[in-house]
Amino acid sequence: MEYLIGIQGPDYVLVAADNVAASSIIQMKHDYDKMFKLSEKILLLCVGEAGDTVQFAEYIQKNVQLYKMRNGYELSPSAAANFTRKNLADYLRSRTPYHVNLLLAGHDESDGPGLFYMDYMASLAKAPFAAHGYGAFLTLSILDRYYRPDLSRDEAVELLKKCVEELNKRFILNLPSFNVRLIDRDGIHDMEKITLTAK
Amino acid sequence: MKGRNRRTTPKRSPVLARGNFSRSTTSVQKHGILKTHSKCHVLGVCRAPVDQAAVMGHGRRQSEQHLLDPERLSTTSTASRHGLEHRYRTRTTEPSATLSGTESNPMKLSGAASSPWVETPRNADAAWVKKRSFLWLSDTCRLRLRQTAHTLQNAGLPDILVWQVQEAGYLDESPIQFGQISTMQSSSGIPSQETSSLPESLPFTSSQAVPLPFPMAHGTTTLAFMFQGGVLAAADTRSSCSGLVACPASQKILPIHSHLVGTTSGTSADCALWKRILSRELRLYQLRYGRRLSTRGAAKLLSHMLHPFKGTELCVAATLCGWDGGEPDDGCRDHEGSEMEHGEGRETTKTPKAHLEKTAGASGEKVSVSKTQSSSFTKQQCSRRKISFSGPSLFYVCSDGTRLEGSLFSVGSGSPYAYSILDQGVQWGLTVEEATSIAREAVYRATHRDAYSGNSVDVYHVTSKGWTRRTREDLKEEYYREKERQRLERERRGKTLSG
Repeated sequence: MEYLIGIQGPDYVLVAADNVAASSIIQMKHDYDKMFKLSEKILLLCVGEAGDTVQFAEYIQKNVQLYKMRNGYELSPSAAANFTRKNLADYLRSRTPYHVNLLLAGHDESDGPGLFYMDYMASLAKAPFAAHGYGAFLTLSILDRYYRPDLSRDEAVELLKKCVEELNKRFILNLPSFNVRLIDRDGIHDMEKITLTAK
Repeated sequence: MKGRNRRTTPKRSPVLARGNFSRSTTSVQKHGILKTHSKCHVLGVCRAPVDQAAVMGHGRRQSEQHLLDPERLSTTSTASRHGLEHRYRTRTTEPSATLSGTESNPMKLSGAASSPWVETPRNADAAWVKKRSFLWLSDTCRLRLRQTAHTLQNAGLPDILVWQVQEAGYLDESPIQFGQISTMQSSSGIPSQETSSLPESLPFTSSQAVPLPFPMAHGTTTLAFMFQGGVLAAADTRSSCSGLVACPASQKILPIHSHLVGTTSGTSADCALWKRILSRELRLYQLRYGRRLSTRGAAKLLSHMLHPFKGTELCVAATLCGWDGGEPDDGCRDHEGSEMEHGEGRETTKTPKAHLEKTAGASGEKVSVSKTQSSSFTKQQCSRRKISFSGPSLFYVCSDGTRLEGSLFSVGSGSPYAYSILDQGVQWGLTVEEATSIAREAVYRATHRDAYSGNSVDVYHVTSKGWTRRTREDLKEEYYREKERQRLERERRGKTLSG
């Protein structure tokens, strides 16, 4: 139902998420933002079960901020990803596991850009590109085919648009618009929303 | 002294609790009273059966209702003893009369059938809301009530008069045990006496979620949307109970405070309870911090309060419709036509609210006045204050954890039908009449198609001055009117064709 995608370039990470907040068969919101800003250069994209997403993401968000307040410097994306994964793992075998699928994207001074794929089973993988949701089945092969590690930003946006086109063509659900953001060493930049243009 | 001994347990079914008290009621007095305490206004329960059903919806299991503050649960006609008579006279006098009637002859179902509770929520809305503001006892009151209850318990009253009530330690311990489906027996600190005296298993003692007596249906149609004139909320009035109409005249839109109204969907009892808890918390917030919590804050508060119950059978799907009345704005930014509340500096409880209502209408001159007067103060606030929002606001909160901000929501089994009507006509620039008519129309169409919605429609309108309620309208009439219209239309068409 929901869709997340991330593409890592040489010095940036491009992420996009759909904008639909649904409740059974009804779209309750068409402009819902699924990205949570953990710090100046880290974004957490979160989809999954209704209340768990916001609760878990906000929990991580506040904890990352707390770390910054306590220690005076921010967590790196890799550290934040591992922290998130640890929390998921801790809750996994409790009475209240969080059923959320995440993409964490960030840019580190020393390590450069990073895209981390996590799922509700608390797995963690650093990947050059990743996607969540049913849409991932349709778009991962496109990413496999066209991805290069040295993509420029425009090319990455084009690749993203190809994926969205494929979704609009073949995915049974209507995902009319997508939020797109880009993270590089200057921080998080909002990019133009990709919307379904009338064909 | 007996007559004056109003400190008896409320008439209610077994209540389970851990905590300071150790009185459990063994009598289950039903006769149409679902849940009453001597402080029965806590649950907004009216004595008359119809009204009760109206308020409480269908007959959900009584035990599950008592997830309440223990102090609130404590029988407190003792409130009168502590000189709060002036406040509670209308309540405690009558109920206690019936209770004392019960004491003297427990077998006789006391004459509470003649409802002393004259004023029901539906009769006097404004008064009702005002009365609810008396709900909030100060901490000292509560303490004294508890002490009195203790002394009475130990006073050596005959068994028949000493009702054993186990009070819920309201979220004293980890909420994980409190209603979560677990395989462990969570029996820490619960005396065995409890379980023996209580036939049913209750959420916080049993290992499983309480099995419902019959499948509950969450049938309703509620909707709310924002427009230039504020927020409009509309709902049907049918309370259904797996195929039968439990109450055709229930109230699904509950006011929370003067500028916040919540539509309820899901389980009526849960919604009524949590709305009241939310009102209490908002009021406490206001008393503590001197300003009213915004709708966004209220939504977040409700969402976090419901979070421990995720995964249980609790079902609350509410939209909070409110008017945020201009938090004290920072003088740094120029607000044209926004409401500026001047009461930031005042810590008194009522004045910010009252002041807000006064300044709600006139925005223009107030801006300049309050700016000059409070400029120095607000300059300090500048750095701290985030962008304050004033105006209508609408949030959808669900017990599964969803919390969404939006400008149009419809919830319930009839919501798809309502959505399709609303999506056609709702825009920002509607007048109040147009908005009311489209809301009515949407509920009407939904009640026509959805079996679980029907009977009447309630429309509430929230503006800067507070909420107002349109008289309840029976949709049966609307149906006949429409049939009449269609007939006339057909006739007219027939005439034009022939003529």
